[in-house]
Amino acid sequence: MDMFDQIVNFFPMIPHIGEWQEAQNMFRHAASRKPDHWLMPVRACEAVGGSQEQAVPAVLAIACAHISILLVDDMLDDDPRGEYRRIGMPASSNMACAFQAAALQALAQCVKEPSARLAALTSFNEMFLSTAFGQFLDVQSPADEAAYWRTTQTKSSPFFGAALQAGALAGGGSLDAAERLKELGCLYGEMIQVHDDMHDTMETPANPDWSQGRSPLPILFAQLVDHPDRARFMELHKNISDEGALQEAQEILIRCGAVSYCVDQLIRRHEKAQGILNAISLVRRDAIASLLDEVIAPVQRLLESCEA
Amino acid sequence: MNMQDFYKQLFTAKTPTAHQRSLASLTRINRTQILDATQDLTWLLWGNAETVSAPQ
Repeated sequence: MDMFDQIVNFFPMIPHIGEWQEAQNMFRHAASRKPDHWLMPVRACEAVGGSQEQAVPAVLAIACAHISILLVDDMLDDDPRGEYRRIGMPASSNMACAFQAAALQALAQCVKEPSARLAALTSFNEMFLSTAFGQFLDVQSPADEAAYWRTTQTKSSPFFGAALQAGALAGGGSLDAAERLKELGCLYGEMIQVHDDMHDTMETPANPDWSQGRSPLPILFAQLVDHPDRARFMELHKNISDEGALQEAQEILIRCGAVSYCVDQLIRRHEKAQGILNAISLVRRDAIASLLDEVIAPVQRLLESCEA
Repeated sequence: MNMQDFYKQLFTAKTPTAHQRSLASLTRINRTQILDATQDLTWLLWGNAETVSAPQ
C-alpha cells in the first residue's frame, strides 16, 4: 500500500471525518493526484532516522493543510476550476476550516513527546496564520521587490517549512534539527515560487497573472528595472491579449535579464539551503539532498541548453 | 543583490565572472527552452492542476 492509500485510509479516523462523506470524497480525489510535495514529511522523517510509517500522520497533516489552503486560494483568485464553483463559497469556506483543523488533529497524533508535539502544532498554526496573511498581501498585488519577497515568504514558503519540520519531529528528530529543516524548507518554498513564476510567464496562451494585474518575479523585474524596452513592455502588458503582444512581451522578459535574475535567485537560495543542510546532523542526508537536487535541476538544464 | 544592481552587473561588468557569463547567456534563449527545462518539476500549483474538485 503506497503512502497515498495509507493517508486515505487514515483520514476518516480523524474525529467527525468518519461521518462526513463530502470531506472524505474531496480528500480522496485530491490524493488520487498523488502530489509529490505531500511526501516532503517522509523525506525529513527518514533524514532524522525515522521510518515511512512514522511519517504517515505528518503526511496526512500536510495534505489536509494543502487542501485547506487551495480551497481559500481558489476563491481569492476567482479560479474557475475551484471547488467553490460547485458547492458555493460558504460551504467551501467551511470545508477549508475543517481541513485546517483536521491537519492539526492529525499532527497531534503523530508526535508523542510533549515538547516536540507542541513545536509541531505551533509550527502548523504559524504556517496557517502566515499563509492567510500572505494571501491577503497577494490580493493587494505586490508593487515592488520587497513586497514580492514578503508575499512569497508569508504565502508560499511556510507550507514547505512546516512540512519538513513536522516530518522531522514525527521521526524523532531533535527540536533543533527540525527547526533547521524548517528553515531549509522555507528556502525550498521560495525556489518553488520563483520556478512557478518563470514557468507561468512563459506559458501560452497568457497565464491569468498577466491579465489580473499580478506581478510574478519576471514581470516585476521588467516593470521596475530601467532597461531599454521598459516602456514598450508596459504598453504590451496593458494590452496583452492583442495579437503578438504576449510573444513580444515574453521576448523582452528574456532579453532584459528578468529570467537571468530568477535563475540567479534560484542559485543563491540553493547554495544557502545546501549550507543549512551541511550544518545539520542527519542520519540520512541524501533524503533532503535529493530534494534540493530536484529543485535546482531545471536551472542546470537551462544553463546546459545555453552552452549546447 | 536587488534587481537594479543585478541588471547593472549583468550588462555592464567589465570583467564578468563565469557565473555572470552564464546568466548573460540566458538573455539569448527562447521561451520554449525555458518551458522545456522546467516542465518536469512538480510545482506547488496554487489553484492550478491540483485544484481539489471532488467528483460530481
